[in-house]
Amino acid sequence: MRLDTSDPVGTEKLGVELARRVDGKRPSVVLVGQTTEDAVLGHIVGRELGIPVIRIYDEEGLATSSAPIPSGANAVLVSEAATDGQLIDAAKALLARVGGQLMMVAALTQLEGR
Amino acid sequence: MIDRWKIFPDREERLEELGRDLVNAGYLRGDYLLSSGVATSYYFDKYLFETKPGILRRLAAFLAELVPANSDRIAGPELGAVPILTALALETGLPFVIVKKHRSGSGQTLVAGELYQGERVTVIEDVISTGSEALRTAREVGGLGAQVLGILAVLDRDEGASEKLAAAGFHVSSLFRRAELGL
Repeated sequence: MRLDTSDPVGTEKLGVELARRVDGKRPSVVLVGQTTEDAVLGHIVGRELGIPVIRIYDEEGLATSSAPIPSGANAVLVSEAATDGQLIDAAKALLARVGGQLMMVAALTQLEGR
Repeated sequence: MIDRWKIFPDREERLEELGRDLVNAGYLRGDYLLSSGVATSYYFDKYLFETKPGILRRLAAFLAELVPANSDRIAGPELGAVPILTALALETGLPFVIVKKHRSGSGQTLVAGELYQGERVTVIEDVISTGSEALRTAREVGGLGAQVLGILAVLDRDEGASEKLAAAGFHVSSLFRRAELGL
């Protein structure tokens, strides 16, 4: 299943539902990957929870972020389809550098092999 | 007595010289975090050597020696492998296909160029660390019905890529290994 961003109503509902499901963990920041779908979903989750959204990039082999990750952040990684363990590993490593932790991964589809 | 036949460097000397040029052009010291999550004290910036025609031309010549003779096509991931693919295609005459990081808007296409079922393909990569990107590329090519003959990299950072790719069933070779460059 892929997120159909041409359906804003459906996309909004999915994002709000994801936000509802992660709210109990009390994350302080949303991390998202590089795809448009991830960014849209992450925006909705961040807006619903009232927390910042930071994008994680794979810049030719280097893990970087669109903004500094706050010290001690408790993060949720929002992804359309989190089949790529590399994104999770990069998120964990970036968070570890600032004393933070990845509390959960919120995806629309079940993780494969993770 | 002067060895008149040593006026020109032999193959091994030229390869060593290329290795030194790679290091001088692209080797950076610092505090880096690889996308695999591994922290490292150095980074090889591929663009710093791939954008130099004097290095790229020699890279292509040496890599061409390692491309299996029965290859129908070469393939590599965007963006870093593209200059090498281009140079190697010019050197060998083999066509190439680019494997994109993300699917296009239609949600289907992940390769740019032509790729046909049953083609024997050699995957080309610039620098391999854990091999995740090379593995993704090889699997995508294989998933489209091509036969992956192996994975060929410019530099193996000796951080587990060879073992990981071999465990996945792919033959791996590289022009240089980290230790060979004195790093």
